[in-house]
Amino acid sequence: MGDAKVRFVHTVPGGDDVQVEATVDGITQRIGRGVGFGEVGKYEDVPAGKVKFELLGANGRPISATDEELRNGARYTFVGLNDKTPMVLQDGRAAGGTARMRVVQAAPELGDVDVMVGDEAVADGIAYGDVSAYTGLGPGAYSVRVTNPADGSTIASHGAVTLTAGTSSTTFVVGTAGEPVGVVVAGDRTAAPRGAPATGLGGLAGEDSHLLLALLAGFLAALAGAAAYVALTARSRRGG
Amino acid sequence: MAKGRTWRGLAAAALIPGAAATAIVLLTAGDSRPSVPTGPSAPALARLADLPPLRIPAQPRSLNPVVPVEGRLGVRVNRLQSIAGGIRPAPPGRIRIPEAGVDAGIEAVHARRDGIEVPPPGWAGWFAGGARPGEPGRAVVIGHLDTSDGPGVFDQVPFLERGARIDLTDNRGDVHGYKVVGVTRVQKRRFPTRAVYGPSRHPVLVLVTCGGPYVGGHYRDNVLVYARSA
Repeated sequence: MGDAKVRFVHTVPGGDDVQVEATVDGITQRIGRGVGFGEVGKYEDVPAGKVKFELLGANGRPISATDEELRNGARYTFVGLNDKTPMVLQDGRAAGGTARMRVVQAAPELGDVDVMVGDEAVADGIAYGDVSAYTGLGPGAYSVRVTNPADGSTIASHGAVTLTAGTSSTTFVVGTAGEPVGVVVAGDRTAAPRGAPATGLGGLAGEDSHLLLALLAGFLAALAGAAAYVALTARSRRGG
Repeated sequence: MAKGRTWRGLAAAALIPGAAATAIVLLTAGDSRPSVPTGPSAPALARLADLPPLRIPAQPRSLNPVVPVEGRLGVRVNRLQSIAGGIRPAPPGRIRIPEAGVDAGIEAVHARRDGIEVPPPGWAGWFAGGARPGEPGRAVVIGHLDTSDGPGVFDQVPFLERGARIDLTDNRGDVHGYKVVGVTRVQKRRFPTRAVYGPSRHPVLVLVTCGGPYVGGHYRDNVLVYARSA
């Protein structure tokens, strides 16, 4: 069946001790050990197929759960929410030559917000628990700002986010419940060719000479081994 | 029975050292030219190259627009816009590396199902799915070490030393300069995809060619040259 890859992005304010468990066919594994609030965990292998995800509080107290069908080879981000069903988002592929970004609003009590990347709105009036579609952006260094849709005032900002051609990323709006509102940007995918470039045809290498040398060395070693064996057996017969 | 044991012993005495010697020579057979050391790891070089430019490059005017403000004397410079994209550098058209004798045209190459396209002999290939030279990100340029009958466009690239200058001229005529920070050699079967094609905060150039032993019709390794914006 193969594996999918899942990462945990900790967006649960005031929930330093939350844990995520994925259960497949009765086998449970922990995801995102040691990921603190506002941090992005590494992608981890989870068997593809129907997976039950659970967000657990301190002492294993269940907070919320959801079932998700994971595809072999696909990548996902688990976003835990305090008072809603957690989101398991499939991470979008990167597109060659452009930078793609989407937004997840994971800050309860904040209400709808706009998210600006430079001067461009990548999310308009996005509500808590919602995710935007990916938007294509020109590569560059940007300021990412969370603004109030009513008056355009800045609620939170991230000073310099570099978006590279051939990448996709997700901006998470996090905070409240005692935590300041902040912006977390995580890289999702990179457009990269498979494997290594084949940039040599052997004109400088002299492969044939290596092969001949190896065969000659093998022949001589075999000859020496046989001669030594004959000499030793002859001596032992004489001795016997 | 004793005769059978003798023949088996003789065969073993000949075959074992013979096979061992053949294997040792094949495995240790190197490039007939000076060997490129494996050097620092590709991720370490990638981090080293991802430093702010050695000097602030001259920006096209369009990256730092001057915006007249109605009702005010003078102008306001939109500083956010100056770092927020603006007009991208054009795709690269030529690469010059004086210390490696490279002065070649660049062709855009793309990902294929089984890897990456390679440029024709005499040309370098720029991975068009990634960053363009002069913008944040790793611009990847590949070139042949050799052809079937002689040196390729990047035959001296593995021997570049730290500080060597690399200039890429884009299709608008702007020159994007880089300086080598390090060279490393990696086995193709362990190609460090993320350290080559992954994102970076600053403009980084990665040159890729072949290296190491040539066995079975292929070079075993790739040589990676990392350079930072200069």
